[in-house]
Amino acid sequence: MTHATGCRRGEVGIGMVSFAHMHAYSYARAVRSMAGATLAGIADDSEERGQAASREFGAPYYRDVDKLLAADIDAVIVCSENARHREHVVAAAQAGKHVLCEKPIATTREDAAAMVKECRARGVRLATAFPVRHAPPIIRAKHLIDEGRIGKVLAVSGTNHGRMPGGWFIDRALSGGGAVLDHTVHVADLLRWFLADEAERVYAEVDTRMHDVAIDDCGTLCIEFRNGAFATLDPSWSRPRAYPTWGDVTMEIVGTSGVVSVDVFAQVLVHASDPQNAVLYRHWGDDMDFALVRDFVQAVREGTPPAASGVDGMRALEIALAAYESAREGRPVELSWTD
Amino acid sequence: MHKVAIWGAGTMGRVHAGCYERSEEARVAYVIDQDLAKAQELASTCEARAMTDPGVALSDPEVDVVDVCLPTYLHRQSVEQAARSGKHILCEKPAALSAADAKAMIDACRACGVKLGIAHVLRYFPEYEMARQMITSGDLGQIGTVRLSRVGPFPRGWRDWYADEARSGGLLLDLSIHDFDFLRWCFGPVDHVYARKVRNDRPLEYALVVVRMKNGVIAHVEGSWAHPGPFSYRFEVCGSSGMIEYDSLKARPLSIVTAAPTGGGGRGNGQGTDTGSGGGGGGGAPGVAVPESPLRDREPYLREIRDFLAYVRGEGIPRVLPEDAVAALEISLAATRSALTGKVVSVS
Repeated sequence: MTHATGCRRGEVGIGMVSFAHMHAYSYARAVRSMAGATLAGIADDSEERGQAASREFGAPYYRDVDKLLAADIDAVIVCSENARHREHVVAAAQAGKHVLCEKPIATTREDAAAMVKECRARGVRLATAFPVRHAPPIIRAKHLIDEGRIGKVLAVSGTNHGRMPGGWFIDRALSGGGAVLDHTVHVADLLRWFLADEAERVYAEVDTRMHDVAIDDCGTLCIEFRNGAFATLDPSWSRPRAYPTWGDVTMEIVGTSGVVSVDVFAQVLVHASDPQNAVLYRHWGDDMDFALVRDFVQAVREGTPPAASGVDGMRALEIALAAYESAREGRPVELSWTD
Repeated sequence: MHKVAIWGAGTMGRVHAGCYERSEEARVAYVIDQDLAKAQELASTCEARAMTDPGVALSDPEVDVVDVCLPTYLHRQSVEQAARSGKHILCEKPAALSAADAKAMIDACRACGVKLGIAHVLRYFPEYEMARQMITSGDLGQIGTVRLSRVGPFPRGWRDWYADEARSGGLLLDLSIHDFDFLRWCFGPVDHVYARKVRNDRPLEYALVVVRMKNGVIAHVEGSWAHPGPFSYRFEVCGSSGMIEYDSLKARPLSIVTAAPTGGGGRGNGQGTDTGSGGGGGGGAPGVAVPESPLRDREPYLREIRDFLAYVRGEGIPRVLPEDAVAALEISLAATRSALTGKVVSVS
């Protein structure tokens, strides 16, 4: 593993690869406001979007990713469309740059495996952007579970609801899937982390019922783990525009001697706004995107493993892909693990 | 004025007895329970006679209604016995442990010319009634997903009968059947289910069920006898033009907290019944708030009882037909089978 130190007086130089995913903006803000990190460049094949981001964040714009990768940077954050992650991550690895890749890590298992392999071969870190791992309510839940406060975890009822995002998210060629791919991977990752175990079976109902789109917008999964624990997950884009917030991440975790209930985004003010003619939840809890980027910057600087690796991203992806297969075939699908 | 024999002086027997008294259309004449002290305790609240043997009550020609609030495994034999005595019968849910038993009960009542009601009281809960009205009126557009949840501590019944699956049918039959019935009421028949369930010796039972309705709606049902806290229920219905959500823990117009131990009471105090309602008598520890959700005209158990009495008089058709109870039972049994086999189970 190479330890990048950069030449900016010890600061880690970060490049942004694409602002196609809206999370790029909060990641870029995090880099900008973080001690020990510098936003060193922005690449985007949309010149308009890239130039605007360049002005907003005060970093040089490159039309071509290769130019950014040739610049004096240590690492990149890849926020391109899901189907383009492989191309960008592999290019970054070949240029010797560490990578934080937006979730889902890819749209196919082959792509994810190739990304993991290339980063290993080039000795760069590959991290998957699972910011929810950094949310304090989730970290606290993990501690409570690890301390044995609810005994052995038996089952989990989870949700990751959202709004229908539109744009390239509903273009299968770019996104690889709809709500089930978009919103399965976060909670799938948390389940693997909490249970310290791998899924072995997935059952799912998947459909398009709430929006006029040519991609899945709702579903429910049942994920069973090797240790016998099971979990369900609702990843639907079921939140109306009129709902006070974008969505949720919730987990009801049932153990042999108690229950932990997590509602990750419950730290809000309820804001009734006349100008906006809306009631809005205004989140005042910790900024998990900032914590995610901080963890990645630390991994780059100190050579430590990031919270969620490329393999973690691949495992979560495999659960989402198994859900689609289950829904197609109308039966539970067994997962087989190969590294 | 109807004359009622309450058969089974447990939690539901107490709730129903109170409703008959308040209905002003009936009075409780007999309370039957194997445990004479329990029968006497309830009988004393409504000036009824207490007895351990149902014979006297069933042979009293003035009794026209028998309300069966016995553990599930005793439903069939007691309903058949009451039917043979020519009494109309309101029987607690679930109707029976098997569809065959439930159908036999229906047949027996038909053969004896008496009316049978199965007390799926959830259909009288105003929050569920309103949700159904919003679903069926189209307010929410085309429904995509439905989430139903019913959680509480492990129930402590007579001789721990809930813990014996051969007697209670377990969590999916006893508790989640409320939500299965609600799904049918709103969306029609179920196509298939996939369920996972865990038991443990705390004791606890916990089940998660994925339900696909024939009309395409994707539903999720959580049932828990693993939550040590207060009983609660939640739902969420999401459609193409809006969603509704409800959490009984948040719908609390009143709570009392006292310096000394207090007697609880009223709807929503979470003690006793599996709809978390009408329990009464739950005591609050000092300093612990005991919430209530009081209702008068819309109180679900009272309206259920009044509806049944009207049906007995030939003045209406009940909201829950015995056939509905059988259909709900079949969903519970399919989910139980899925949980056992790990397979997707079709619901006919």
